[in-house]
Amino acid sequence: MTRALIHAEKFVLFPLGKRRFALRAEVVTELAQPDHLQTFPHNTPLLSGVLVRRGRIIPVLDVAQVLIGPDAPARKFYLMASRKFGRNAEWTAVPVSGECELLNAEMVAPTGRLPKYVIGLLSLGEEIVQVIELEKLAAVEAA
Amino acid sequence: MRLTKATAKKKSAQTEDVILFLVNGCRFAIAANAVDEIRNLDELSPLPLALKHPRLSKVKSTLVRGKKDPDHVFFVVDAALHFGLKSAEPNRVLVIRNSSAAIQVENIDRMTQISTVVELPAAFSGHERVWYRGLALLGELVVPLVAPEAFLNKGEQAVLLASWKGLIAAKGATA
Repeated sequence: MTRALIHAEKFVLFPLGKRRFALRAEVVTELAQPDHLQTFPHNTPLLSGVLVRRGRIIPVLDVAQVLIGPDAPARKFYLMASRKFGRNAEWTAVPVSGECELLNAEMVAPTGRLPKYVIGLLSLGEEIVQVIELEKLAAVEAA
Repeated sequence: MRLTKATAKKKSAQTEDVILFLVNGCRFAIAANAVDEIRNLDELSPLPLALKHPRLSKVKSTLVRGKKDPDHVFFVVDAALHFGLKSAEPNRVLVIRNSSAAIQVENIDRMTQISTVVELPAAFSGHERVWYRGLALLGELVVPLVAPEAFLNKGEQAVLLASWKGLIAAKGATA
């Protein structure tokens, strides 16, 4: 099967246990050291709490629950990414389990059976990395 | 790895007096001017059977302040149930001003001033959008600033008041 080449662009690869996933680099703002997760009652799926960074409150979206399931290893860092809400964008912290990597790669369109939040695939040697769109991932979980 | 600079927005508010209270170990803030009185559990009465509604199971008791306001009934909401927390031993009741609602909480932490109230991030999309006016920052501590009207909205108060009046009328008729 021939996959449609979308285009080459920058991605940030992040580990969750033994697997790696990617976000478009344009939505990633920084990789942060472990921080104090603060929680309060809510019932939004996947949100595990908030961080305070430089006086700003940033929600924490625990994507590992969806991407690798309940046996996800401890998350060591937070990848700060921008999520769109209508016309507005807002920072979201994504817990990851190790160092991230910035790379230039060509993304191909996902195959049919992958979840909607997988917006493309990166072929890195023998490793196929799913490119994730946070808005779609959160929406799928909320539905 | 730092790629770009932070751009999150923060909404500042004027200084506001708040009461910090605890529910099952969680800390919340409520505007001090939204609270008419902080009481102990004296004078609470179990909710009469006629006032029990399946959708209002968080209402656990009634309060009639005999000396202060004998004609006004307050419906006491278990704050733990309201927030979906495990029930904790309540020790205090906050009577909400201009309302028929009161809330039973685990304890009062302290009264303080807040100068920064941040809008609840848009990522939060559940009931918390009704529960909270925003998030207060006390130094590095994030405390949800509760919306007093969310404990019992006007419709819920009307349903309970109607049932209460019916109960009082029925008692009067049999007396």
